[in-house]
Amino acid sequence: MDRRGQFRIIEALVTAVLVVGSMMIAVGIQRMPRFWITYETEDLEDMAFNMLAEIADQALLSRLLDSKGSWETDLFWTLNTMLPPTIYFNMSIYKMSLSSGGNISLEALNRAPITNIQQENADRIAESASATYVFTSPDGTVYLAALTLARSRGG
Amino acid sequence: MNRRGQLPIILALILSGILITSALLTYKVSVFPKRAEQSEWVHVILNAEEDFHRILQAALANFTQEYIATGNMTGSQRKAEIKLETWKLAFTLGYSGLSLRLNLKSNGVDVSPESSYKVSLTYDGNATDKTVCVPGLSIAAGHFFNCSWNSPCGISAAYASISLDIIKQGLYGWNSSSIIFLTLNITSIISDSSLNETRIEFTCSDGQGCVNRLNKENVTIHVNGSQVDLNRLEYTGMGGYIALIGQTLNPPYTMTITVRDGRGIAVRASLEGGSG
Repeated sequence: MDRRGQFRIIEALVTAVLVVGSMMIAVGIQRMPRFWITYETEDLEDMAFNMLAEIADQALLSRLLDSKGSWETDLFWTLNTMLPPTIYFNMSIYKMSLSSGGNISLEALNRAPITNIQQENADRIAESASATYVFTSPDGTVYLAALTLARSRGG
Repeated sequence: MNRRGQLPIILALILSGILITSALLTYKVSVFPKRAEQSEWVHVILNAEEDFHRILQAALANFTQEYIATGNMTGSQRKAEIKLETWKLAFTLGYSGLSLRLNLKSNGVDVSPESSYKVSLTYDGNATDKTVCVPGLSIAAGHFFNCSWNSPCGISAAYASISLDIIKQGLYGWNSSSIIFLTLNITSIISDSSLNETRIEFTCSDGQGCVNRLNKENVTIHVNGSQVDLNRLEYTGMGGYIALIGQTLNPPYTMTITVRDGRGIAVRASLEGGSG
């Protein structure tokens, strides 16, 4: 029997296996799930900034601050409603005013913490980010709002 | 063994390599994060642009209300400028970690050109058209506010430009400008002594278009220096309003309408109702 003929057949088989195998791998790669959900700290920063900008743009903040009632509770429920349940938040609002010396002074306005972070949840926080936003009320008072968002593990 | 026989295998290996590499490249492109690179400077600029507009609006409201209360133009301008100055310092402090260099200035702007229009005046059925010259309004360089209230076409305006450098992030030269105004035009007065009432028609507009949310509390009318009660205020569309007062106007008289919109900006228009 001619051994060269057998080699030709083996070569043809190996070639066919290689080509078909690589095509199957290529098709397999294309079928892999592409919708990876990746979280970055920047996403939290953006979310915090967008939240502050949205609230200030709707003049909601100045309306809340103008109300003499428990605006901290109103703001808590606003954030609690608008943010996903896996996000913890902590918000502080300061009034910025010109002092007699020509400097800007900061006065903390919230009498109670505006947060949903409980002591027992502290160890569940995976990452956090903050954003600040300066906003002016219709009467010209300047406020500084700082919002810290934290993502819980598995969120 | 014949070495030429390995050629198909080598070609197949190359072909496989090309196939798998191109598939991996396609996959990498498809999962690559599709987002523009951004940093904290984007937030600062968005915040500056939005709040600069708000502070200019609040400062114009402060200027017009102060001017109505005191009649002192320079003093009212100064007080409103202090609001702008405070905002500038506050904003810089709010982002102190980024080393901002923020400037507010006014290069001057022409708000409205000189014009003329006709006001329809009717006293007990006798109608006349009065041609009124409306002076142009400009805000001089170095000033942020101005108003023209001594004609039937009143206007209050503010203009400023902002420039911002974010030194820590290497962003220099961002700038923007904003103009805020409120106009009030008296278009018609119909006075009827048999009904003992006067119907005053006026239009009101701002930078966004027609002002359509005025109510009786926003409008004050003075005749010969005395405030008169406003019986009714009707919105007729396109920024037009009809105000009804329970008294007739007998020339000569001076009538002043003051409107304060939802932002707190005030504007005043005056009309001399002469016998001629």
